Amino acid sequence: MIKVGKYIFDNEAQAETKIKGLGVDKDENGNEYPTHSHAIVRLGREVIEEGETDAEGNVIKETVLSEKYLIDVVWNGIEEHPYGWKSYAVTPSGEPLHNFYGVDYLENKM
Amino acid sequence: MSKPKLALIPSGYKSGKVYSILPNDASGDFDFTRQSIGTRVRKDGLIEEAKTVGSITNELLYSEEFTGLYWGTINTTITSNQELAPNGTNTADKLQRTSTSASYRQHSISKSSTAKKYTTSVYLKKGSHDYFALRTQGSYPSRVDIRFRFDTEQIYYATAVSNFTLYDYGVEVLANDWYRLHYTYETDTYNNINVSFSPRHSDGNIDSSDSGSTAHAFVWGAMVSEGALSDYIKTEGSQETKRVETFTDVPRLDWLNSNCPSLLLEPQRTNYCLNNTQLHLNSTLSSGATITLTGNYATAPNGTLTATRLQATGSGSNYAYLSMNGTNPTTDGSGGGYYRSSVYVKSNTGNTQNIILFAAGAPSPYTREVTTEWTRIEILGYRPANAKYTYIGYSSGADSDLDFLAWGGQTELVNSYASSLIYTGASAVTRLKDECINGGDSDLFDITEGTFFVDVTPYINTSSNHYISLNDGGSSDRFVFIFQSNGTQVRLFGVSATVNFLSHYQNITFNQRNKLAVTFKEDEFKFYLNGSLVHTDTSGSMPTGLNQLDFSENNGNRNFEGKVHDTRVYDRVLIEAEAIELTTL
Repeated sequence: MIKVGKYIFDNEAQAETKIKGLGVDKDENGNEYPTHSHAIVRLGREVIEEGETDAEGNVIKETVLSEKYLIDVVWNGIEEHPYGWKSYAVTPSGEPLHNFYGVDYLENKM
Repeated sequence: MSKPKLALIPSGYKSGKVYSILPNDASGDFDFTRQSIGTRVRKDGLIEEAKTVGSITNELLYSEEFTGLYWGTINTTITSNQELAPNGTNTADKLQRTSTSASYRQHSISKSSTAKKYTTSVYLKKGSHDYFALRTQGSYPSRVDIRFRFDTEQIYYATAVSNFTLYDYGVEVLANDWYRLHYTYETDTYNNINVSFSPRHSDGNIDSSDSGSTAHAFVWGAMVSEGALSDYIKTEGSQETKRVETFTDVPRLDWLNSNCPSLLLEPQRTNYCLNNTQLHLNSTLSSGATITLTGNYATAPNGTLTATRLQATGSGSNYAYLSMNGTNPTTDGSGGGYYRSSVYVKSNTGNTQNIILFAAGAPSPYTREVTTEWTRIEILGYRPANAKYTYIGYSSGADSDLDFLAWGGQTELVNSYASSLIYTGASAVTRLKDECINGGDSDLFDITEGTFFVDVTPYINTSSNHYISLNDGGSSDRFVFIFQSNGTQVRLFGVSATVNFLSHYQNITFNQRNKLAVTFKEDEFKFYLNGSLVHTDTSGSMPTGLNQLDFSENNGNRNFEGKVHDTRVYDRVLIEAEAIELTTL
């Protein structure tokens, strides 16, 4: 059973702390990897105003980003938000920024 | 060479399973999951969303006629055709309870005396009160009880009792205040199940006392089918069956650049290229040069008429580009890090052309050749900030008059490789990871010596090692091929009774086919790679209790990423000549 959750955390550090709290371990090379079965997608900081670049990649106008940090999750085998996540859950109106391939958000919404 | 105990040469599969060639009694088959859609390249070269086709049967008769003629009434009343049903017909029935605690409408299904996995579903609309109870029962007390609230639109109670197991449940919120409730469970071995529905004033199961006696709700479209939830099928006096396609948990046998299929095992990836099968919807960027986009102009690599024609004319330092990732490529963090963009292109003139594919921070050259065949071209960019723009079209270095087709753009925040195509629309889309685990059992791997062979194309994952392991279900006893995150080595690792007795790092080339084998018996372990004996170890005990082969660690973590062409376990040590022959590319 899967459920889909969408979250806006106060900042990236808070989001990473929440994700780490789901379970991580380190391999023999020191790389961290998740030990949980949930699928996390870091959508990053919320865009307040889109920037512009020219064809050479030069920034014409800087993108204005909020400190807020967006995450989408496919929760595997749980029916409620993990402790500490629920208060950051959101339900976007209109077309969401991100979807999981073939997973209907409203049908599987946490 | 003797027959292997287990041989996985990817050929047969169904949703949730990859079949082994040997043994042929299913004990060597693997469990497979991927909770999203994924695409593959078919034998004929077309890209498609991997799917399985089967049939689904509604075993519940008279699925829209709840009258006492066909359903058990049990202290309830039915008034037929009182409400517009979800299909727009006036066929939904009003189901009303009485003061008796056990007030429910019931139908039974005969089945074989074996446990079966079923899904029960029914469409409901609120009548008078907020509560509705459902039950599927075998031999009492074995059952599943479900409780739903109309005001919260949620199943708030779902419990399996005795010999039933509950797997899944949920609610689809539909138009006109209709809901479709569903729950998936495994039954007991009784030869019959009863399905019951009960409108309620207050919380409780179908046979619990209630605070009122007049609750009613509207019901329509009841269904009981084997397996997971599927589209509704109407029945009358006999069961009805229809063809269904399943897209999730479908293993992908991929024929890309090969005459034989391989099992494609990919990590989770997100495609930030929006509208990637309708690229004409994305924005353009030009200075001095001209660009014209024509949508749905030609047949794309998936066989549909969705390729975009891109015509551009320019000279010198002018430019005219299609912005591949769209004008609003979503957020992606505070920047930094690589991204890899890819797109399928084909000349529309009958001649080869040179175009520009440009990405932020990408080293030159940006020129790519577009041939008369569909080809996937790539570029690796580096984000200076949050931008991850990728442009395709005319700039200095391209032919001055371009006319080519583009389709299937993909931008992934990785530096390693472009993964299989992920279709997008106006949003970024994530494909979830493939997991193939749990092949074989303790009987199959009850061996005191043997050979473990894998023929794989490992993909580079610089963030973590990934594994293929023959293990005891834990980490105490195992042989493991660990594909290192440095992208240059594989480690052969052996553990017996928690003692690490074997560890050897061997250079290999990732993203290419490699054949690896370890032959093992007490105090004799040999590692073969691509036709050569590369390491011998003459001390160590044999792992015992081996009972599963995983394309991951023993616990399902750190899944193997790449293509599996062949995998075998023998119950004897192949002699050196055999092992060399087996591992020769």
